[in-house]
Amino acid sequence: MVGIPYPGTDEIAERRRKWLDPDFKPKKLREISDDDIVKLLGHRKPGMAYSSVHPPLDEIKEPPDPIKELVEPTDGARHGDRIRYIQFTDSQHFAPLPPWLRFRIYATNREFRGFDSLAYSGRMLLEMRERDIDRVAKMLLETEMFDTARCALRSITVHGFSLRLDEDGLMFDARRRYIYDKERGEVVYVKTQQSVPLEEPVPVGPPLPEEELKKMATVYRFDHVPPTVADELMKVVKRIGELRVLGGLRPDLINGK
Amino acid sequence: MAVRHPDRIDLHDERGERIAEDIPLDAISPLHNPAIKKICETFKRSVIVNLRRIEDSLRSGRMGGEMGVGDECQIPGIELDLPIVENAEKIAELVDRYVRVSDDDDTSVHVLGGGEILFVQVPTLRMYMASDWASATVNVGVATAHAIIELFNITPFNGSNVIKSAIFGRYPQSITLRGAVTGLLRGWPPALDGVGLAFRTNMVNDIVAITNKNTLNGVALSAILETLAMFDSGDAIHPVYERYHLLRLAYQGLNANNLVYELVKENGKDGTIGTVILSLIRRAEEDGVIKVKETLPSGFKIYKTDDACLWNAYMAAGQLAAVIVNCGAMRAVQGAPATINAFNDIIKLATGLPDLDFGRVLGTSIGFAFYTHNIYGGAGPGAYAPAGPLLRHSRGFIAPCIVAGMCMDAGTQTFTPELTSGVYMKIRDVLPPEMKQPIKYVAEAASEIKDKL
Repeated sequence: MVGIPYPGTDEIAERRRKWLDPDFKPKKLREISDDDIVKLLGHRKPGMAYSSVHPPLDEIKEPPDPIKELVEPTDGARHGDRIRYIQFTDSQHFAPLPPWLRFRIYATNREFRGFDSLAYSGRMLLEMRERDIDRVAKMLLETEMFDTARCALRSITVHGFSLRLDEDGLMFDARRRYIYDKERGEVVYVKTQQSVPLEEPVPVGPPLPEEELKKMATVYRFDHVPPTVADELMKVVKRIGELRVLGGLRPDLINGK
Repeated sequence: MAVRHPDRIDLHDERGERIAEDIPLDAISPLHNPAIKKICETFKRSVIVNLRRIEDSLRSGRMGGEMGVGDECQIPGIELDLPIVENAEKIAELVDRYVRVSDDDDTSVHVLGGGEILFVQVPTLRMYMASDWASATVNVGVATAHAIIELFNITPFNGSNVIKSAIFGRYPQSITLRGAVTGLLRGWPPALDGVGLAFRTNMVNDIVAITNKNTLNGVALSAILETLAMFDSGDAIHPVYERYHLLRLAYQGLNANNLVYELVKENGKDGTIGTVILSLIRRAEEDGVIKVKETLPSGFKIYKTDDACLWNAYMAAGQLAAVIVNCGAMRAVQGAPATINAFNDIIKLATGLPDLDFGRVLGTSIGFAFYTHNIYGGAGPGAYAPAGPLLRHSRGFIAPCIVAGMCMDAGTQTFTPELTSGVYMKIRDVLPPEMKQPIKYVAEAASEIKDKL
């Protein structure tokens, strides 16, 4: 399977194309235990059973619907799990992914089948059935999709993506959910994504160096890869804008263009 | 009649089987297709009277409330204890007598739910003479009032003054109709802030209830109503726009050329919105709908189309397939607005062509996602009507997809069809088959008329 086409010859476009491949498996950078992830998400205690919103699909009697039979439900849907969320704030200072690219990855990558998402004011929400969210949370936190200093788990008080980084290079968080442990050299979460204090801190690993983050960057910036090199992208975006206006008046006006 | 559009299509049912072959596009037009005409006139001349509600209002003196839930008005001293539900059959007989024009006309009155619901279809002649569709509701409401007054010997001295309020709510002191009578078409002219919106006033859950959660039939009924609204509102008046909307109806609503079914089949097992987009681009290229205009140095292909209306219809089908694949995997409707958003966001940059309805669907879906979620959540997607200020800007492309999402939902919503549209489930049995299985009946009707066009 090929990825979603995306215009551009520069390294930023190259990386965007990589991310938009439905089968892309991001590189694992750190290890966080399953229990620690459950604690960070804050929806249930580790070891607790999943709560359900409806009976398992096998037990529901629904009217016959041929098209429904063509679609394979996810594991969580099959069990009737409640729908839970994980929400990220990504700093504009070289976080690996901007929110809109996160959204496109959620919509493209097979790992995220059966998702719901919404962007607003510096946050990117992801909602899935609880079993599914537990599975993808591991990928979202352990791989190159996440940097411990420039990305943050935040379900409330998300403000901070456009603020200067603090003296330790961490993104501002009014709720102080995480601190930089200087002795261990890594970021430690002391609160859940909802800002509820954790009984024991959860270490999530050291922040990536700035140079490393620049090598992973997926946005154009004048202090790195400037948007002026994105000739192809500009050409395509301008074309779409023009054709939208013209076709928006009457569709046949864009025929052959 | 004459064939206006060159297109010919095959129609496939919800199992992917071909049920009509080589149909001219005009044969599915609301102006020609008898099944769609039947759906249109059924919506306009059908009225639901909730007799249980009339009885409860009169017994408690609670009436004329303006709240969405509950009733804030109760007037002690006006109570009337009348066995209305018990006498539903007699009321039905009287309503039939008042509404009917001649013995052999198409009036029909059904008593449903053990006497709790009266489902009335006024004769076509009355609708022909009406200035708008609310005429059916008003006539049936007043007929019910007269029936109650006559049956229980009510006079101005013992309470006839409150019968109107139990049936029509506070109207006409208020512009809303929040009593016990409603049209099958939920729209009520004084409360609509625009012309041509009436066919879009039924909420998504109503459509899901009428078609018994059958995904592609729900989609078809929703798409037919949206198309009727486009003809009603002037959006389908230019030949290009008429074809634009008929192609949308064909490919998104009626599974033309089996496009939706095949996209879902190809991607249903392990696909995503992204893989549906890739399948759609491949199919459109094979069918000659889009062609490569230019290959950029990176290898990116800018596509062009010689038929923007057809490519738009292909995208409408692709968007529906994406919703079925994503919401079907989750078995929850809440991801439908995000799916629509992502589909359009990604496909425009993947092809270099404008997205569905030239950006209007993308714009509408952003607002819709916003207002169906968390702190801004007004309701679940199923409780929205396409005529609402959030959805009306997309001309027919979104509502069928939300209906599909709602049919896929296994029970995650607060606003379920059972909660918001229970009455539509009760009347389903007496509705004409065209409304319950529109795919089949529209295709059959199209086959019948195709040589006469």
